[in-house]
Amino acid sequence: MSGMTTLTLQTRLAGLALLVAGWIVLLFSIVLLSTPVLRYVFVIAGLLVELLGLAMVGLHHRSETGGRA
Amino acid sequence: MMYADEPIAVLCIVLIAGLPLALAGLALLNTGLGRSRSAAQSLLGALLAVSVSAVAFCILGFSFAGFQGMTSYSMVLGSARLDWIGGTGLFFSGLQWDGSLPGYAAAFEIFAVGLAALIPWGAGADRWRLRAIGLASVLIGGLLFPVFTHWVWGGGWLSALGASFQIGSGFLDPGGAATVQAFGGITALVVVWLLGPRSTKFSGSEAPRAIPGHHMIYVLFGCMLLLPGWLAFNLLGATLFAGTTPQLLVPVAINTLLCSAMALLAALFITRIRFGKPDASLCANGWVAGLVTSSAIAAYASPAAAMIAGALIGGALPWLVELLEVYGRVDDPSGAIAVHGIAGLWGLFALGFMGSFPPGQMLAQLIGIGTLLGLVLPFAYGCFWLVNKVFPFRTTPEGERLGMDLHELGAGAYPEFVIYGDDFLPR
Repeated sequence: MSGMTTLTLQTRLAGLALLVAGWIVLLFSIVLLSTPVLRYVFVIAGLLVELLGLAMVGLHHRSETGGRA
Repeated sequence: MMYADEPIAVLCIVLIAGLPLALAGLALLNTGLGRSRSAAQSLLGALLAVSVSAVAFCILGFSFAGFQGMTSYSMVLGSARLDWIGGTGLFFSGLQWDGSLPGYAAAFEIFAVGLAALIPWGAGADRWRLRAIGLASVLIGGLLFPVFTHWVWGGGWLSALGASFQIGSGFLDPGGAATVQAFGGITALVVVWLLGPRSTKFSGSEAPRAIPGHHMIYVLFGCMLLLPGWLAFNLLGATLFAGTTPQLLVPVAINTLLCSAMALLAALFITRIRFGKPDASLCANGWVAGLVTSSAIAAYASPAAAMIAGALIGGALPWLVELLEVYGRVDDPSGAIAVHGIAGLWGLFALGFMGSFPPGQMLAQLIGIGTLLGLVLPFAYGCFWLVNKVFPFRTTPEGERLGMDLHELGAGAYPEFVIYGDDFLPR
């Protein structure tokens, strides 16, 4: 049980870290890149990382309410 | 400093007077979608949220929010300079009340922050303590809302993406789809996660239990009040932040109505097909989702585009609410996460397809959306998590069983009502 709790806590922290990491990808893509296509690619990649992070935090809270993680 | 000429000044004052209608409408809607045993606490909490966030915004918030041309601080990143935070005086002391635009913007934002604080209050209904909404409103009004508002409305880095990086016209959000609606929806998600569901919502089975709103008249009348309030928000926002002239405000008003009307009709059509009869609460949510979408697009869209954007979010809304409840196991009585959060993000995204902007407008909108999800959400989560550790957001199980009215206020909103249907459900 404690192993499961640790896992879900780690899931939440990893999810929050991914959200911020996605935003950093997005920010640096506009600062470092100048080609519109490359900017689009990296901004969309950053958004996908953010969505993964959001899903992980959601998964953690879902498991807290008794749902299947 | 930019000054409003006399007709615009009069228009701004009239529109500012209309803003509280949106607050009243949302407070009624939240109350109606909650339980009868928490109705008085819900409305008192709404007043508390508006009051505390306004005071916090006056004392500290506006100094962070600022306005274009006022003192601000920048961060250098490579060769780029990102305007990060406002730096005017406390208690609105950096403002001159001489008809200049920052004064009207401050008045607009002090009502907008109240609306932003009301959104999570509806999502945490029936279990969120008054003390906790007070503390959350301090955070929203004094820190979270002003900093993000500076980036979008105060001349900050998101609004300057066009000038600094040649990305469209920068991130655009004249009516508050990002700063108020999506921001409010995101804080609602954080609050719902931290609070957990109401005790009977997921008990006894894997599937969530429907806990219907207690007063559909409040809900639907709230929707009617929201329309004039939203018109004031969209028209004033277009005037202050999109530079729309009074002559061009007419299509903004028409787009606001068309977007919400099509969203209501789509929600009505979908719920009629799925359940055999239209669902009043989902139709109300559809109407609000249309208004939220209009906050982003009304100043730039054609009437046809506004109708399409409204129909798409209104049609998707019943599924979005179900998706969050069934698969996300999120208990959000007012539907704030879908209605304000997702519809706000949808409006911001849809704006990328509209209007005649320089190239890259969609990129600017995506960067704004990414900032809401990747920076505002984790920052709000951290702040609220910390406050929740010190002053628990959630009431006691006994408080939830009694109802927030009796538990926190000592008296019910409807003293003649004695039976609560879900008192007999397994916990």
